[in-house]
Order: sequence, then C-alpha cells, then structure tokens
Amino acid sequence: MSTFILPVGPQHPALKEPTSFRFLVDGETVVDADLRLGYNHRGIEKGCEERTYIQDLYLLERVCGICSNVHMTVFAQGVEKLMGIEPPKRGLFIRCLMGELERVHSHLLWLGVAGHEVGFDTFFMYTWRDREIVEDILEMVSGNRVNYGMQTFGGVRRDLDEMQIRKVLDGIAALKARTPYYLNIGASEPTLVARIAGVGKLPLEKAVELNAVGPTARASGWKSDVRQDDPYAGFGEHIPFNIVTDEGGDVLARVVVRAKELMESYNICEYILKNLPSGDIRVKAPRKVPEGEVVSRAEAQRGECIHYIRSNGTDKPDRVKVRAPTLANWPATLYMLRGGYVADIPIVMAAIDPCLSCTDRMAIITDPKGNEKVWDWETLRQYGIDFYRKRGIKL
Amino acid sequence: MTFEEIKKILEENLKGKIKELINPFPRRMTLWVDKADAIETCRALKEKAGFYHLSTITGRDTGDKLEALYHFAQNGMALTLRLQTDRNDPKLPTTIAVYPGAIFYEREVHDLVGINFEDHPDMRPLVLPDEWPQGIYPLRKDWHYNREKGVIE
Repeated sequence: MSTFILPVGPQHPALKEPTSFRFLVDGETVVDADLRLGYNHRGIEKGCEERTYIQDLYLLERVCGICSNVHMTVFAQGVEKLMGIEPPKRGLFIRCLMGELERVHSHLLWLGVAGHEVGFDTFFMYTWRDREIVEDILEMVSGNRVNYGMQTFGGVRRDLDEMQIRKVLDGIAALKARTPYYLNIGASEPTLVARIAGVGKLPLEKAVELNAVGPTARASGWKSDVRQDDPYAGFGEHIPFNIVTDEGGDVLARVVVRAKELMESYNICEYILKNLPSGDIRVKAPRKVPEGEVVSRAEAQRGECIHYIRSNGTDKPDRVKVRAPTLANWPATLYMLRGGYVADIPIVMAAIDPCLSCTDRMAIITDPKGNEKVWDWETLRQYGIDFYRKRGIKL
Repeated sequence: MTFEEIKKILEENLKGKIKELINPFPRRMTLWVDKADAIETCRALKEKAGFYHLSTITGRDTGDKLEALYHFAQNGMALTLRLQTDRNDPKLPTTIAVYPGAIFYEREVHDLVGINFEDHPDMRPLVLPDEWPQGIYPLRKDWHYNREKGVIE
C-alpha cells in the first residue's frame, strides 16, 4: 500500500504556537511525522537585548498567555541572582502562590480541552466553569485575568490582605471539593478510558532519551520536577508537596497526572496562605546589573522553563535565551504520533498541552495524484470522534 | 550530586581536557572544554555524571567567537557546557548521537546564530521563514533590526 503526506497546520497567527506538521500516512496509520516551527517567531530574544531589564520583564511575560507568570518568575529570579539581591520571604511565598494558581487555571483549561478533543464537551463545560473560580482569584490578587504583572526584581508587586487570603482559601476549598470528581471521570469513566488508554504511548526510556519535561515526562514515570530538583522561590523554604507520577505513559496517564497535580497545587496554596511570613514583599533593585551569566529554571505547568541571561554591566542584557516547555516536548510528541491513528492526532498533540489545540486551518491530501481536500481542525476533530463512534465508543 | 562529586568524576574521565570548571551559584556549574572533545565530554556527562536531561542549547555571539552553551540538568545541579568556535568557519560536532533530544535545539541555534552542526541529519530552517536570506543570522551582534519608519511620527 502506498503512503502519502498529510500536512497539518500552520494555523492562525494570533495563536501562541502555530506549528506545521507533515504526517506520512499509510491508510489510517501515521508512519512518520515532521515538524516546522516559526510561524509566530517574534524575535523576543533579540528584542530583549535592545531593552532595559525592567522592560524585558514585561516583554518576557508576553512570551505566552497561559504561562506568563512563570516566564516573569524565571527572568526575575535569574536577574536577582546577578544583582546579588534576595527577595523577602513574604515576596517569595506570594511568588509561589501565583505560580500554583496559574498551574491550577492551566490544568483546568487543559482538562477541558482534552475533553473537547475527544468529543466529551460536558467535561469541557464543567472544568471551564470551575476555572472561572481561579480566574476570579487571580483577578482579585493581581488585577488581571491573564498577564498578571506580579513579579519584579527583588520580590512581588502586590501584597495580600486578610480579606483576600480568606477569599482565596474559599475558592481553593470549592475547587478541592470538585476536582476528585474530574479525577474519577478521567481515570475510570469507561467510554473516556476506551478513547484515551493506550493512545500516544511514550515509554520511560524514550521520555528520558528525548528529554521530555513536565506532566508528559511524569506520566511516563520519570520523577522530574524543577520545584524539587532545583527549588526556587518559596520552594527553597520547604513547602511540602508530592511529585505525581504515573507508569502508564499514555494519554490516560497524562490526564490522571494533571488531575492529581491539581490536588497538590491546592494543598500548596493552602500551605502558603496559612504560613505566609510577615514583612516586606520586595527589596529595592539596582538599575544596572553587574557582569555575569546565570541559568534560571522553574516548573511551568507544561514542564521545565529555562532562561539563560548574560549581563554586561549596563542596564541592558547582552543575551537572553528562553526555552519554553513545549519545544522540549516536541521530539517526544513526534515519537508518540508514529504508529498511531490519524484519528488520534488531535488528542495526542493536545496531551502535551501545546497552544496548538485551537488550530484553525489545515489541508488533507486524500489522493496521491494531487486531488486536494481541505479540512479544518474542527473537521479532523469530528473525524476522530466519528472514527471511534463507528467502533462503538460513544461519548 | 554535589559540585565536588561531579568535579571528581569529570576530572577522572576528562583528564587534561577541562579548560574551566566553576561553581558560580549554588546548584549551578559551568564546564568549558575544547570543541574537539565535545562528544567525549557529553558521553562522560551522560554515562558517568548522570546528566540525562539536556534542557536546551544557547547560541551566543561573543564578538570574536561564536559560543554554544549546552544546559544539562539533574536532581540538584544544572550544568552549562561551553564550546566555542571560530566566527569565520563556525562548526561544532552534533551531539544527537548522545542526546537525541538535541535535534531541534541544534536546528534553532543553526538558524539564529549560524553554527553548523556537522553530521546533523537535518539542517533545514526550523524557526526562520523559508524566504529568509542565506548567511544572515539575526542573533549575531552585527545584525540589527531596523524598524520601518511609521507614516505618522
């Protein structure tokens, strides 16, 4: 049987990570996968060299809409090391709190997207309804729902008062009561499990070899988490938490890991709020940074986020390198897609939580002679749902 | 592992090849070797010192040389491996035989800084557009972006 090429993407330029895939397919099976990035390469690294540190902080927040806070955190703590300043403990705890609230909103968003990709829209409605609770908390704490602008060199920019702490704890308690239900559905609802179990397999040795990060790596049984491996901000002050891992290595395991991580994040938030040290939230930072270089890391919701910063003694950096977790997970994703079904492409890609899930447009070539038929993401998603429906899996 | 333990392992396995090995911050270390010893160093890091994870590769223009910084990580330590190459003929050996996850990082460095990774199977552009002119590397210091002047200033 002959093979042909199935191009997927690139999509709408307003999305964070438009990506183009070329799948070599043999009938319904993906034989090989290839990737082309750069449809939204904005030259932020070059832009950082032309701006001052404080301008860069807000530029880097805009690397990503979902993990904006983590990029700010990584850059701020790297520059703090170069400046030789240490934020006060209260500032570090609030820094951690923002990171965990962001993880909660992102994982709830992801659970909904995963449900949507397999045609389980009720799940999507439920998780996104609950996500509003954490979005409201973030808006109350920072003033913004998406780009919070909370971090700065030497600490954080806004403090929490007693009333806010009480409201955050109430919201966390509400989420804590609802999340076990999602974990139960994700892990044991028979139709959903039939759709995601064994799909997008990534064995442990491949996850390590291809340098996968975050929940993708942990769902293959690799116990790696920057919060524990390289404690930063308040995690250096021994905030207790468990690293969630799963041996499954498939999409089911990734759902389970993220749902359990939500519970861990709620516990971290509660611990932080109940043990919030008193005192200042920031110290004054100098405008110029002494010459040096530093590697700064943090655990974003999608995995390890790393910045390399080199300063030259002026108020502008010499080099800033940003690596967001999605790039680290692409080699593993290409591995997962090989040997799978075309119908599984949406959920396998969505399972690493790229910002690709909102894909807009793609072309599908159905005839090697060149008769082209264009499908959009919605059609491919529906194709996947119908493919499994014919095989008796009805969500 | 602590810095001292890793230092001992590296000094045993890379006798006389280490140009610099420092510990500038807690849980951070920098190793500098000649580019001819790159593959041997990577093997020692992965097989002897336990650095299974390659976080990313940074390409940098130092002015007279081009530099590739490989960021490795393990529990409790992040190591940066520094390799330098000549600006006129920028070549480094590919590390994907040791670290298969380096495939996209090397393509990205090739795009933006213009270091050629010898024996890399696939040096097509990854992040720059297809119509980007050959031989122009935006992250080198001699390249500047000139914003077009707006109609209304």
